[in-house]
Amino acid sequence: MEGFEFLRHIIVGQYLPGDSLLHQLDPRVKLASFILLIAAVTFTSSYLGNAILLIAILGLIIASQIPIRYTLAGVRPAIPFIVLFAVMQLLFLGEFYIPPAGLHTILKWGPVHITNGSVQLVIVSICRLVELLFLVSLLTFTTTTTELTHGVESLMSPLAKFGFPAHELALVMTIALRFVPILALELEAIAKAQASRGADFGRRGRLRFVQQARQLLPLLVPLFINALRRAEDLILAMEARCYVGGKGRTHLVRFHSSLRDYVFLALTLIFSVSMLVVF
Amino acid sequence: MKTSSDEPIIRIENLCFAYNADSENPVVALKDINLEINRGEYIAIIGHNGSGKTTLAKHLNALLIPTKGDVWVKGMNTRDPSCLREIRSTVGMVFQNPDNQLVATIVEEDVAFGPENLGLPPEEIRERVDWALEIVGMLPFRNYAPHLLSAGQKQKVALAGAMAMKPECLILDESTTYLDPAGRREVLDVVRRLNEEGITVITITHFMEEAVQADRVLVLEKGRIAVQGTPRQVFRWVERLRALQLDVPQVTELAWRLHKRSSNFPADLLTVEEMVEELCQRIGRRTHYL
Amino acid sequence: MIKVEDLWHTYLKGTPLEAVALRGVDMEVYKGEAVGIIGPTGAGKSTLIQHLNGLLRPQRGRVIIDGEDLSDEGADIRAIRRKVGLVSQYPERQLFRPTVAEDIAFGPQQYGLPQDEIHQRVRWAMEMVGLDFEEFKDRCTSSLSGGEMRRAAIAGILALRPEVLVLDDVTSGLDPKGRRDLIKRIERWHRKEGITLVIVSSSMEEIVQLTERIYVMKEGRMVMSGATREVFAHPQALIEYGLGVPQVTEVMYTLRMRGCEVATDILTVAEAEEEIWKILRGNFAFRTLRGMGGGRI
Repeated sequence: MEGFEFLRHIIVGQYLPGDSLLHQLDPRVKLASFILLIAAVTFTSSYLGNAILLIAILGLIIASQIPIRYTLAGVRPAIPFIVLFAVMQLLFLGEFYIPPAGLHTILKWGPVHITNGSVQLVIVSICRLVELLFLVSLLTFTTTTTELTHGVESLMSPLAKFGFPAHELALVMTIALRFVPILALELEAIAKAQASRGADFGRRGRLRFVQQARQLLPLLVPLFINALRRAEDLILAMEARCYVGGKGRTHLVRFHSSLRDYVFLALTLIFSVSMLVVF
Repeated sequence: MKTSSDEPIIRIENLCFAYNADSENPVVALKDINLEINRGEYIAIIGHNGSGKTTLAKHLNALLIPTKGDVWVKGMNTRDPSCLREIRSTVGMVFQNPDNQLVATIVEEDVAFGPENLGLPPEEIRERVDWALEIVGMLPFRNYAPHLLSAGQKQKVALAGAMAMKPECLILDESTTYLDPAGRREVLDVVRRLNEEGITVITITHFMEEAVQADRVLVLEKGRIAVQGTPRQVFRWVERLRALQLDVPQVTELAWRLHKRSSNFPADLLTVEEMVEELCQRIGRRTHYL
Repeated sequence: MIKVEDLWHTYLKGTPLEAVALRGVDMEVYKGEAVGIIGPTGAGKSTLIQHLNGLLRPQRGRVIIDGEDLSDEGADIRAIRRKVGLVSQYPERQLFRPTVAEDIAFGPQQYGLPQDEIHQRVRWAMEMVGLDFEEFKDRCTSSLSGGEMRRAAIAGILALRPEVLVLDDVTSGLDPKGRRDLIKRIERWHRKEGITLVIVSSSMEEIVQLTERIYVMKEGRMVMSGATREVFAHPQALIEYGLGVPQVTEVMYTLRMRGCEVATDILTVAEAEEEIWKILRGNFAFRTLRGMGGGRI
């Protein structure tokens, strides 16, 4: 059981087992609510609206019994980008957003133009990013990958009647998730093997793009071949277990929505719609 | 069709197979194979790489169709597409690479994959999954992610996945190649137990210690059955097997050499225990049994 | 040549998935030796050998390769990788160039060797692994058989002309003939070319035929070490650790346990045959004497 050093950096996307309200909700409801809340976050641009959203999302985090500190840690890798964007927006996008109350210039000096509009833009953008990260983390912390894929398949299955490949998509998701750790370990092994032959992956600097791409060949080509071989094996194994496609398949895991799920969904719906309409 | 229990569960008649049969250079993999496998047998197929072992195995559950000749599983011809599901539910298969057979991200979901494909009601799927995991001894691991398991454990999960189809026959295609000695023992113990409960087992291997456990050993060479018989019968032919690029268990080779020196020493010993017993008897008064 | 002192290693330090792989490991390998490392899965063998060519730097403890201390910031890792060639498990994974000759040439190219030197080395390496130069040099790497791919990958490391060859389970997955051939070749490299060998394996064949001295690891520690013969003369401990011993060794040991006065440092069938024949013949002579009315015991 090799330790793989990349795992430490991936916080968003991990599942944390627990017993909270959010853990117990029907995944389909969670997915639907997630989409609704994302819509709300995307289109709310006022200070007050974002404040309400932040409080609501924090409330959800508390309800999920996940330590807030851990969720915040998921934001950390993004901070350099956030800061960069913020500064750019603040300095140069003065006229981009016009607040309902009107545009006032705070500072103007050459190309730099800071207005109350750009200030609001920056603050709202930061809020949105944080809200989005929190929402995604919330979803993945409280929902296992199987629940997610089954939930997606279940939500999309009405579309299957119109020829939409709902089952196939879910299967693709499952297999991809299953093989991510495998291929990651494979990549590490390949990298080590090539390094043992003198390959140097550490050199950064002013290498031309083409050269940098060539340096990746000893990693990517074997990985690709490996993935293809695995796919071939997997096909045989699936056929040996009578896989013939999505038709006629049943499922071990079924979802039962209870009253609690419907209530949650309804509340989210009301909340999101009101956010969109009012703010 | 007669379905008495005397009927062999698998019957192969004049099987010939070539890859790219319709092209300009077909590669012949199997020639004139005739074979009957009876219920409850434990069969080992050995041979060097390229002898056709895996090609033969894939004919038994219709992953490959013969170029010439026929394969009958429980009276069903593998050429018949309408029997495919039934055939593959009767003959289950475990492959060589532990990772490349597991589809799902959670153990019990992967075991459920087969029954799900059969369209069984969820309660029955649940029953079968629990039962299959129980018989391979992996029930405590039902909610694990496969990549956290050892190779031996993964193969046991794959076994469970095959057993969940409730097959009458199990094929192990070099399933212990990528396992360490401890993992191999684990998997073989489970397989032996299943065979004792009546499951027909066909194992393809190049570990001779595995082949000695079988009821019958088939040696393949260049697509034909070169030697067939009980392990004792087959492994006597140490020189012949060496010529076929195979190994015999060390103990058997030792017995054969001693047999050459003194012809009343048996040449067909297969295990450490047999050798020790034989030697102890001959050394006579020096033994005391612990 | 290689000295490992009190080496510790922890994976994913500081995260909830932290795992200690090595706990104070000591090891020495002298130039020209053939040393084996055995142990159950998870014992830390792969972690240990990855320190031998600088893939891992010592977190705690020291690793000294040919005088160079790997804990030094300025240690020349690339030079070390030329001296210590590590063949990882399932090395055929590393093949990526279209033809065999090109792939084997990758290593020497990375070290900036001149063209004709590279050409020479590729030729030599292919000869060493038994891939006929003319036949295989332009063969497509993906058209090779499993055994051929493995040999091509090993040739890729040999082309660096390492002084030490570290082999991680190099025969795993090969059929009996492939195993036998490869072991014979490795033995020849050791004998004729004087290459120092460090062999990690769970195959008793490899260990018995190739090594003079072995280390036994378990749960990150060295639990036994000594001459190969001596270590196998105590199979009880090894069996406890979940390792195999050669069948003939087990036979001799079991006989010993039953009270027979037999040597137990037997590793091969030939040795077992000799030892057993001695016993049987001795007994036979004794019996004949009795039959002639000889002494009572």
